[in-house]
Amino acid sequence: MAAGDGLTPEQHERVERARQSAEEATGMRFWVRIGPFSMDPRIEAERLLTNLLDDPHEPGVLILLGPGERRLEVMTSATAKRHLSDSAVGLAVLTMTSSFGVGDLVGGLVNGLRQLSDSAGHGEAASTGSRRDSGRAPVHQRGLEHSSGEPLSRPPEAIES
Amino acid sequence: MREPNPRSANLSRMASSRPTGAPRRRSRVLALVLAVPALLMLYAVPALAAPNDAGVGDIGDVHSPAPQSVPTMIGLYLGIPAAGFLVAYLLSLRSGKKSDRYRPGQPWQHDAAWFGSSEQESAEVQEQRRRAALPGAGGASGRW
Repeated sequence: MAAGDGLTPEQHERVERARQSAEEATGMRFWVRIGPFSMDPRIEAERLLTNLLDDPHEPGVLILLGPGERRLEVMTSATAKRHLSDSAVGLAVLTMTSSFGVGDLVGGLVNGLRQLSDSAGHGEAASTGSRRDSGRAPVHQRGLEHSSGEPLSRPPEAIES
Repeated sequence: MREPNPRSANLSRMASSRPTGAPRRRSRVLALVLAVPALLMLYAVPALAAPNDAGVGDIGDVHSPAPQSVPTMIGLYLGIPAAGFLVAYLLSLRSGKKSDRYRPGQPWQHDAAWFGSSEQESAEVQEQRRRAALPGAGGASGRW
C-alpha cells in the first residue's frame, strides 16, 4: 500500500469544500470515503452509515468510492431518503461514474455532491420534522420569497393562525 | 450677376491644384529610383574596397574554411541531438512522476481518504455503537 491517500492537498480541499457546502445547503450529514472496500459494498456502506449517525433518525448520506474496484456506493439514511429519492441518487451516481470513467475522481465527487445537494433541496432536512413525506416544507415554515431566493418577510405567526 | 456657390468654389480650387500634383509625384519617383542604387552602393563599399584577389580560388576548396575537427563534428551532429533527447527524457520523467492521477482499470494502492470523518473515528464508532442494519435506508450504486 502506497503512503498517503493518493490525493493532493488541493484535491482534498475541493472535495471537503463541496461536502461542507452540501451539508450547509441541505442540513444533512455527508461523509465521503475514497478507498478499497473490505466487504460487500452495500453491506459495508450500510454498516458504516448506521454507526456514523449520532442518531439513527438523523439524515445522512455516505458515499463510498472504490477506485480499485471501480465501484461507487451511495447510501442514504431513512430520513435522508425522504428528501433524496433513490432515483435522484441514481442520477447523481451516473454523473459521478461518468467522470470516474475518464479518471476524474475529484471532479466526479464534487459534481455528484452538488447534484445530491440540489436534489435534496435547501435546508429542509434540518428544519422539518422526520415524519414528513413530501419534498416541500410545511406552510408555516415557508417564508415569502423573492424570485432571487431572498426572503421578503417572515410572518410565521400570521400564516400559522 | 450670379454669386458663385461656395461648394462649387471649393471644387474649382481642387481642380486647379491637380496639375501641380503630377510633377511632384514624378520627382518623388525619380528620387526613389536614384536613392535605392545609391544606398546599395554605399553598403557595398567595404566589399568593393577589399583586394581583388582575396578569396579567389578558395571557392570549392575543402580546406577553406578549415575542416571541422572530429570533436567539433561529434559535438555538433551527435552531442546536440543527444542533449535534446536527454532533456526530453528528463522532462517526461518529471511529468510522469508528478501525475499520480487515477487511471481506470489500474489498482488503487493508497490509504483510504475520509471526508467528514476519519478512518480511526469511523472504526471507533463502529466498535462503540455496534448498530446492525439501517432500516429504511436508500441509495444507489454504480460501476464504471
